[in-house]
Amino acid sequence: MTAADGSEPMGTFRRLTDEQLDELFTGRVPAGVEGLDEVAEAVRSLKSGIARPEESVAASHIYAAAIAAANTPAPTFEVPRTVPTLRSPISVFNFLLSNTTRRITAGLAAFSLIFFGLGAAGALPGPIQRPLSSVGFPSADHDANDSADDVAEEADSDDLDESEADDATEVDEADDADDGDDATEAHDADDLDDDEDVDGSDSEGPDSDDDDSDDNSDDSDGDADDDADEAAEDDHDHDATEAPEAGDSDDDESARTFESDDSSDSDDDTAELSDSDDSSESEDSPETADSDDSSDSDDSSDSDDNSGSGSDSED
Amino acid sequence: MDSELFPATLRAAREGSEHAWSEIYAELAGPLMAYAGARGARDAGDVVGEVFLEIARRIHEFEGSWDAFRGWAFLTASRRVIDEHRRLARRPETLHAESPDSPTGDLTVESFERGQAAAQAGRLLDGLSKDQREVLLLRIYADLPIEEVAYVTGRTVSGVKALQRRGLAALRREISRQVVSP
Repeated sequence: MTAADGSEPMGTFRRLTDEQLDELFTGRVPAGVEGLDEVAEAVRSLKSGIARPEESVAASHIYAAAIAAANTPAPTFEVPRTVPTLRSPISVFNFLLSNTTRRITAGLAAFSLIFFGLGAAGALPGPIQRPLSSVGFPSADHDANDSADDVAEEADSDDLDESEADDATEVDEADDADDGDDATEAHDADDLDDDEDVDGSDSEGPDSDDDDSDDNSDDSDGDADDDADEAAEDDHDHDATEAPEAGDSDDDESARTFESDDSSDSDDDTAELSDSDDSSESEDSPETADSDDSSDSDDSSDSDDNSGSGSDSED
Repeated sequence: MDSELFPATLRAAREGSEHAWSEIYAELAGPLMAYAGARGARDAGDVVGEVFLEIARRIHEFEGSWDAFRGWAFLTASRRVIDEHRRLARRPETLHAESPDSPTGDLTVESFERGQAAAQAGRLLDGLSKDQREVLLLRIYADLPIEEVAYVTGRTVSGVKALQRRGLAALRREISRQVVSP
């Protein structure tokens, strides 16, 4: 059956298998199939028309292909699209201006301002303020001095100044006593004579004979009359519990009443005088004694150092 | 080219070996040139050069067999021919007197007869439809299997088989017609 006789040309090819078709396209007639010689010859004719380009053209094509393959970078891995690429400067700038970044930066700036502001003011807690003090900020101790402790320290310093001033004056007095100069004692006695509370001094009379002048005030409580006892207790309690204030002349004078009694009753012993002064004025008589014994004692040096404050207390 | 030797040739070609490219060129340049000429390319040689240049630039992306490589090359050639047709359609140029698709080399009696036979066979394909002609060209020039032809033409395997049978039947009719009326 051929095309020439008008039979079914399409049916011939429908009966061919894929392998027979492959063989036909190579220019050979499949085995067992008739009537395909012309087709096989046409295929061979078409294949015969295949020709390579000229050698020079072929060489240029080959060279260009080899160069292009060699110059093309070989991807060693599949580049996924999710791999972050290098950001351009514009992208980085946009990132810095993003809302989230701006919020974080503003928060950090506000925190820094508050933190360092409090640090500069010294209002941070001690454990936090202490490290900041090493870089120029006020220290935590300084803060305490500057804050509420200032009032207490001022009060303490007043007390210390007064007591140390008294110590200084007593040291001076004791020195004078050591030198055998009774002018101070006379001066004290004269002052005490002017005191209004003469009864108190009288009540202390029997007790002034005791050798232990430190217990003088205690003995006076038991032996004196009720009136004198009350007056003495009033003065003594006040003096014993509270340091005499600089402006309270009455207390000083009433306290010195005991000094006058002691000094008048025991004229020969300046140490006892000083002790009695201490007991009556609640001043440190041992320190005075120590200052007498050794000039190198801390109390004497303190008294010297606080002489200025002593003058303040006298004022 | 032997399919077993193709992987080594492909590796060498990726590294820029001219020897490897010569082997590939020897296998594909002629069929590509004939295919491009049968598809109506004005300068089939230029199409071959462009096809090899593009293959070389993208050879690192290719993974497959020799048949797949040939299918890739003919697909590239097909696209180049289509691009040329579009370009010529926009800017028509005067045709040269000498056909650029004529076989090159020493013109002998044997080659002349072979060329005349190819040209005559080529004229047989003119009676086929475009799709049938493309399938037969790929099957004859490129010697591609059905699957690769389907890849190049963008059709299914069954569709390629149907086009193949119809094309062969049409070729047979054309041969009979020319025999009857030479």
